[in-house]
Amino acid sequence: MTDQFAYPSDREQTSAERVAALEHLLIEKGVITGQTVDKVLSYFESEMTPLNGKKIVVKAWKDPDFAARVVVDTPAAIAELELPEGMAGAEGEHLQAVANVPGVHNLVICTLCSCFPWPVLGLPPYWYKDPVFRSRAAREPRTVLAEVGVELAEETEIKVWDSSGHSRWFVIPERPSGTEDFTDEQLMDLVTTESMIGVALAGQSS
Amino acid sequence: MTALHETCTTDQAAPSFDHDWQRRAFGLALALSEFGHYPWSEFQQSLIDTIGGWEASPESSRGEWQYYDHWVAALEHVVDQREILTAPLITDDGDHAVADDSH
Repeated sequence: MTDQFAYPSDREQTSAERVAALEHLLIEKGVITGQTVDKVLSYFESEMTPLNGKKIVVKAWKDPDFAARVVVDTPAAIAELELPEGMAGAEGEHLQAVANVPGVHNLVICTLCSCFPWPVLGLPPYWYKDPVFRSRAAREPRTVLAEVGVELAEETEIKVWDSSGHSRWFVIPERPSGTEDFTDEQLMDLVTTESMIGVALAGQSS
Repeated sequence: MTALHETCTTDQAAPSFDHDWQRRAFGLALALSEFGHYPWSEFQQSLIDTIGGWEASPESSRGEWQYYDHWVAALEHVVDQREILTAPLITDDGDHAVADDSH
C-alpha cells in the first residue's frame, strides 16, 4: 500500500453507510430480498473467474480453427465451450478476443472506466482501475510494459485496446515454445490473468 | 508507478475488494441489473459519466481517486433515474422487474 491508495476513514465510513442504506431500502421496498446480493455475489465469484479465460486460450492454442474463429466472432466461439452462463449485461455479448502473434503484442486498458471482461477474467486487479496506470499505458505502452517485465523487441508492434461497454477486449497470449507435450492442465497453468490483459506473457514467471 | 510489478495481483491472490462495502456495492449493482431493473449498459454509462466528471474537475477540488466511491454514486444515480425506490414495484412471476421502456 502506498499513500496513493490510502483512504480516509471518515470517507470510508460514509461510503459503507451509503451502500448499507441503499441495500436496506431496496429490501424494505421488496425490490430484492436479504439474500439477493449474497446469491449474486456467490455465483459471480464461483463461476466468473479466469478459469474461463484459461480454457478459451488453451482451446485456441490446440485448435487452429477455433483460434481463427474466436477472434472473428468471440461470443459464438466461446459458446462452443460450455462455460458457465454469464450474468446480466456483465456477461459476454461484447467480448472480443485479440491474439498475440509474432511481431504483434496486444494490451488491454480502459481509459474511461473499468469495462473488464469479467466472464472470462473475473474481477480486475485494483491497479487496472487506477487512472495513472490507464493513462500511462495509453500514452507509453512500451515503457509501462517494460516496467512490468514485458520487454518487447523494438520491431514488435504494440496494439492498445481501450475497453468500453461495447467491446470488452481480452488477449489470447502466444503459446510458449517447448510446450508441445503439455497436458491441458499444464497449459492452463501458463495462462494468467495478466497475460490475458497483455501485461505479461503466458508462462512468464513473475 | 515503477512499483507496479510488485503490486500487481495474481490469479491466486486476486483481492478485488479492499472492503466489504465495495463488494456489497458491486453485488447490488449486478443484482439490480440481473433482475431486470435496468440494462447493464445504463449502469455502465452512469459510471462513465461519474468518473468523467471527476477527471474533468480540477485536481485541487476533487477528492482522492477511489473507484468504488464512483461506483456507489453511479448506482445511486441509476436507482434514482429508474425510480426504483419510489415507483410502484411491478414484477413478473419470477420476481424479475417488468421491462419498462419509457425511460
